[in-house]
Amino acid sequence: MLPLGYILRNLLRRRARTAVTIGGITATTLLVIAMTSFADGMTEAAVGSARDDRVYLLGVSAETDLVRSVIARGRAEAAAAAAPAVSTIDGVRAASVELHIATRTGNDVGLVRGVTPAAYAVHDEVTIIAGREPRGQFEIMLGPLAGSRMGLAPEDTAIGSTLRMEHHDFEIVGHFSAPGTIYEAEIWTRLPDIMLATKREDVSCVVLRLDRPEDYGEVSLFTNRRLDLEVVAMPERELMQALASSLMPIASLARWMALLAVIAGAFACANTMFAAVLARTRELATLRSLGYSPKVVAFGLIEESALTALIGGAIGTLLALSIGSISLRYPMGALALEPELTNRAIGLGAALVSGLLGGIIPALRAVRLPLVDALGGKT
Amino acid sequence: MIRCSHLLILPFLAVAACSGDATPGISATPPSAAAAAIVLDADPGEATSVIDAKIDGGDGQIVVSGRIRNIVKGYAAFTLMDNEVPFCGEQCEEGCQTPWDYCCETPQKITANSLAVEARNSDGKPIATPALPELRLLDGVKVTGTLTKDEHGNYTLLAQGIYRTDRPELPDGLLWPQ
Repeated sequence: MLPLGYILRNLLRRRARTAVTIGGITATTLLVIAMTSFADGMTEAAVGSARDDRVYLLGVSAETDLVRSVIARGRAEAAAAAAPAVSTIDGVRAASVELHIATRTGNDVGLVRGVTPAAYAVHDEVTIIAGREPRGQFEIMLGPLAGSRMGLAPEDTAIGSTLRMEHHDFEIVGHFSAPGTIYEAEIWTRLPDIMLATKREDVSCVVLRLDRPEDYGEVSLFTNRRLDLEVVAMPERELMQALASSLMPIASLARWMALLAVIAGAFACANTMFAAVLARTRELATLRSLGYSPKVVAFGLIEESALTALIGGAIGTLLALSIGSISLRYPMGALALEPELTNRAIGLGAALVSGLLGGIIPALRAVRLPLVDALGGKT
Repeated sequence: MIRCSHLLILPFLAVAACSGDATPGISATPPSAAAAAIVLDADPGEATSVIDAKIDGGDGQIVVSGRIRNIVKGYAAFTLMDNEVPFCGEQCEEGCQTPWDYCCETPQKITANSLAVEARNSDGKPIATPALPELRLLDGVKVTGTLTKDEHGNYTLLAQGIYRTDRPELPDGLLWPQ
């Protein structure tokens, strides 16, 4: 094997080219980390929100689409009151009648959930972290990603500010958090207010929290018998899986972009190594004539390439750590882009793969040249 | 010596062997004995439509035909849809990922043309079963039983026998509800 010191010295001999390659690999690593975090975050936010003890009653023709789901309010309230196996939490029946709408402000779309007090018993991941929940007319509280979802500046989301939605001014009275769930991108308001503002007489769904997840069959039996209510039951996990699979094309696109970034990184490394091989044809031939086998020489070149990529990968991973959390929007949601350890490992691994792939062809080319030609400087 | 290219097909053969001949949309879990017992081997004869059964109110034993719109998880119960209502696979655009549903119809039409079906045990409770016996969404069935009506005006057909009449051809590769 060629000594590591020799490989390191070679990298330093062509500082500018090495620095440019490291820069390219750093960018590749950052891109891979960002894309894989985005893809994971988007699907996990949907699935991570799901609980086995929650069941959605949707409009009978909605199937798995919450926004398309329509239930007459009277029927929804009857279903909320009559559904079996529903928990009672602090004296409140955990059956939440809700209206979900997508509201437009300029080019941005916000997600509004109109709720009754029962919602706080059903969605107990939602914790008010500042201010209070909406109690008066046209009051709202915001999730931490709702502002970025709607393209609002931080000062516009402060408590006491006013947000204009559906031709009405809503006063922000609180902020809530529900880490890792889809609620974080939502705006919550009282159900009657959003129904009034949108001139709707129907609601989207009834969300039930059951005593035991196994009781879902009873709820399904109830909706099967009570055809007059025009609702179907669906476990939250199934509904969120459907949402996650509708986001799959975007997640796949992000993963393909990450793969393309790895290929681009490999080309950057290959370019550097080809230049190195061309410039050092005689030197590499001398190594071979001194007794180093072609395999060892080729391996040394691949090591050089991998080392360059690894340095770029490490810088990219550290940069990703220092950037921290970034809010990103996607259709029907938003997420905080926080690269996990897995994403950072994938980024570093991608850099290493770029280096290895980029080093192979130049290395093979270097050792396949006849020794006599190489010593003569022919390339 | 076995050629490497031959070895490559082994994983595919293994997958094919494991997947068997299962029909998409039908649970791999077998039904309970009580649920399996309600399957009829022979056609019960002339049947009335869901709409007609609800209009007549169905005195005594009747036979109702329709398609399975919705299956209740954990019980031998489902919703029967009138055959006159087209399912999505019949009328929606090509490439529909849920051809078994009726999402193109209004809730009112769906409700008016639906009938709850339940098989009950001797205690009058719905038969618990992990799956329906060899039935999936959209299967055309004839159900024999008696009709009951609750205080809200909803009819339930208490099934004594179920006979599958047809199964519409649907595209492969669909993600059937579990």
